[in-house]
Amino acid sequence: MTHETPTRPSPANLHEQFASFVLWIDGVGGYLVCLSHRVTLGHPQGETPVDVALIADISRHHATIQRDPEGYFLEAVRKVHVNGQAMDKTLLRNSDRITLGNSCQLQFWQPVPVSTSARLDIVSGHRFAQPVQAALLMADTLVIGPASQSHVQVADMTQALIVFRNKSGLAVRWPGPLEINGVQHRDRAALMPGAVVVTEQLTLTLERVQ
Amino acid sequence: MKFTYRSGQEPLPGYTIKRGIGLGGFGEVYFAVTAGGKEVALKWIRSNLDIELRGVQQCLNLKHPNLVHLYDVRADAQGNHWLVMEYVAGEPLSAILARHPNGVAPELAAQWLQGLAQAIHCLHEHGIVHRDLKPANIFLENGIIKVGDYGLCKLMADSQHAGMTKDIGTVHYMAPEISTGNYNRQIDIYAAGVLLYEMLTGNVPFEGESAGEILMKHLTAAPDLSRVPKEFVAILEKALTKNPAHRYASIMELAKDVAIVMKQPGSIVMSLPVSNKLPPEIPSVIPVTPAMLFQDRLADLTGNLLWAIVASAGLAVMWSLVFGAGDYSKLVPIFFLTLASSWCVLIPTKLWPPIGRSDSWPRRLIHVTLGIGIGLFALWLEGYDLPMPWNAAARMDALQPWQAPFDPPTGMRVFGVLDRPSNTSMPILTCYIAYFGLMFLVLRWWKAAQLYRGTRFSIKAMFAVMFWAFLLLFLLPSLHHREIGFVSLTLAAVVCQITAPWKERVPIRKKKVRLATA
Repeated sequence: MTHETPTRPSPANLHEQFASFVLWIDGVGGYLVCLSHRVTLGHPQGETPVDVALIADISRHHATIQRDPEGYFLEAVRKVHVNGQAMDKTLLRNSDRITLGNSCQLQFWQPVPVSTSARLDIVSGHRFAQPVQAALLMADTLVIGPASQSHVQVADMTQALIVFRNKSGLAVRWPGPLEINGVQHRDRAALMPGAVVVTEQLTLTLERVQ
Repeated sequence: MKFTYRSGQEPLPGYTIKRGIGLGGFGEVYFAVTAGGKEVALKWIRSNLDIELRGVQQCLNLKHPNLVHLYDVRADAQGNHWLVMEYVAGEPLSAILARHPNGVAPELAAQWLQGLAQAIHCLHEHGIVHRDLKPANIFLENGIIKVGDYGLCKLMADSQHAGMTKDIGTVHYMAPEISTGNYNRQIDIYAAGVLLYEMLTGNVPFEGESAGEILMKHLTAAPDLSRVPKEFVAILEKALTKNPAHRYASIMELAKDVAIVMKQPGSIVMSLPVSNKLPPEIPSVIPVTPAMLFQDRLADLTGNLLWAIVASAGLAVMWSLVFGAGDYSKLVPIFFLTLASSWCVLIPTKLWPPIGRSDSWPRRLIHVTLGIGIGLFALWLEGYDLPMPWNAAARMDALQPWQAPFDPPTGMRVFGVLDRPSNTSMPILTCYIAYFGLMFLVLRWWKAAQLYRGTRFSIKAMFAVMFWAFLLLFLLPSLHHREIGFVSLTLAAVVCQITAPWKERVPIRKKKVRLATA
């Protein structure tokens, strides 16, 4: 444990630190990670930026996804269909297809049974405003590993790397030596914005979204 | 994967690296975003620099929807060269095939092959051989195949070296003739055959423990086509033939055969090579004659009028010799009437050149006026006194053409004998005015004298004049008058055409063509 920060960040200043960030994984892709329990979806041209900005024919604030103890609730602000049914508010289940407006379609995944974190993929050929492959709604943990039950599947890996929340903020767990911003660690280490994590099998970077 | 550069670094000014995409013998590929927000792939070219740069430069400006676009080659401060490319957000075919170990549906494989074939065809058309077709170089973005990594000349000088290629994946797609140093487009067709086999079955046709073993199988073993859907067997046999001369001659032939067996009518059309037929040549500049000044036109006209005298005289004499049967009495009136008629056509047409079809009626009106004048002139030539005030006062006993019926004049004004008029119900003045007036009304005489006309001399125009001159002959009172009227108008049509200068008419372009060149 190396997080010897003088002020122990509370969950509130965790959001100040990170609100959302992009996880760049070399050779794999980029992922927008949203830490907030309430995530807004919309077009990026609005005055107040949305958490998950989509370049599609949708409103500036088109829908909200809220993480509750029961699960993820999708609240429609404008026209939203889930699996073809028009919805105002609905509980999302694994592999639900969310259609925002007429054409922008997302698929909702909760690939890891023990984690409530979710993943949103665009399946209609649209794009996120950030050049990322998917949006990850991070609850407690993110699993990056070889199994299909991972938030980010990396076939070449032999074991999973886990990003998790702790009292001080975010941390990473990796069974083996890891290097963060040039500092050697073992098994687990704290993460900060801009951290570059290097393991034998994976290199990833956290970039804070402005 | 270990990349040299990390996210956020900017080795090439203006391009911020976000993450590494891939590593290879050639160098490292990164995903980067420009200062302006454009997403690009950056390839750091490290090996075989000169050869690679030369190959890339040939391809920098190729454009095809199925090719990964190359934007630029840039050098950074350290002298490293970077190839700036289109970033393809989709997956490489290798990732898709890894998820489908038994191959994809034949329809999908066939569809992807069409895209692949289009891209390879484009390269071959530009004289470029890809040389490194493999699933890792082929991407699928929104259902569209994108072929990348072309133009990078791999150093595969001989089979020994190829056997030592670091990336064993490449060996699976190597045509047998590469062992003899033969790198023509046939190797891409072989590789496309291997790819089709792999898409259909999930495996490459020749697998082995080492590169050498695989290469040996490419050289000697026959591919196992029992796993392939039966409609593809013949196609793959031909594509994977060891002898390049027996393979498909072009990638589009392969694509066409695949489209046929898959009954993809749309794809057949798509896969056909671009028609070699060029569109009809369109004059890029419409010839425009500079507008002539009035003086120029007058000078031009004077020349024409003088030539008309010569032509009229010549034709009148010729007519007399051929048809006149020695009767020269009609020669002079025919000459004068021919000349007058042709002048009456040439003068307004030259001074007021026709532009389009819009001014037909004002022109006819002018011609009618002149035609009436010719009628009066003809009458005068016949020896009649014209209904002029001075005539009436001067010679009360003279012939008065407006009082019909009349005794014919005793003799023609010039010479010759006048027939008795047969039509006595109409004043001879009316007859002449009606005949010549109508002749100049019904025909568009200016067509015979305008600068731009279909041909210099149109026999059709002459026949038109003859037709109408004949049709209206009933208006003239006697055979003598009829002969003179008919012959002189016919000759006038000829004179106009041979004296008026001629330029070939600019063909009127179809609207579509006009718009296309605008």
